Amino acid sequence: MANAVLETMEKSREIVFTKPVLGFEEQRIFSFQEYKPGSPFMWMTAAEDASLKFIVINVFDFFPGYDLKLSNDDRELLGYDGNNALIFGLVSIPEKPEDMTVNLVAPVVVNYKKMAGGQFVNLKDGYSLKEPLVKRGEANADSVKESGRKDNNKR
Amino acid sequence: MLILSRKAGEKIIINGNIEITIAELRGSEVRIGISAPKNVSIYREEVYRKVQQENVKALVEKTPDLTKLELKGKKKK
Repeated sequence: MANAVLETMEKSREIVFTKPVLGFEEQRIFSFQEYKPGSPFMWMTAAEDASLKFIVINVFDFFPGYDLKLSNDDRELLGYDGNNALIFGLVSIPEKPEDMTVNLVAPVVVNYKKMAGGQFVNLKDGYSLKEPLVKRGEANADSVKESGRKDNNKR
Repeated sequence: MLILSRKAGEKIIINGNIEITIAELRGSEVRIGISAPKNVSIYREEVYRKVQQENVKALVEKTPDLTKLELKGKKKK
């Protein structure tokens, strides 16, 4: 659940981006807040410009088999060892929210021990910039907040 | 734009800490080596552009209502 993720990231929740969100290079500090209690969605907001905000998900909540491959330089920069990081996907929400997609090509990776993060392009091929998040043909009430995700948050 | 002529094996230094090497010429293709500090982002233009465009689309202007969606990958209780 988002709460647990945020707890993992400790109270300050302000993450210094050593690699920028592409297109937003001047923003180097982002904060993470829950979207709604119990929701799998989170806000990722630029600390210096609150109008720059994104909805993100913890990728492993939705794609438990997600495989992130970073270059050695990126791993070193982030101090990433595969166990101390949270991987967030930026969600695009079009006019019809049920058409929302998540970017699995370039996730935001946060080393929550160092409170350092950034957007990194996954070197592993085969992931989509626009992976659908909503099941086809249904938009069912109250299913999101009770989604009961567990255990994957600390990966 | 600054345009320089270089031969294979020659280099360009940018800012004292970024080194670009013309590694190899193969017909119309050039292989380029880049050494730069780790925090310098280096992408092929097309990769950079498509991620950047998707990021811009992901910017939230109006808070969406996300409470009524049946999401993928949901675990059973």
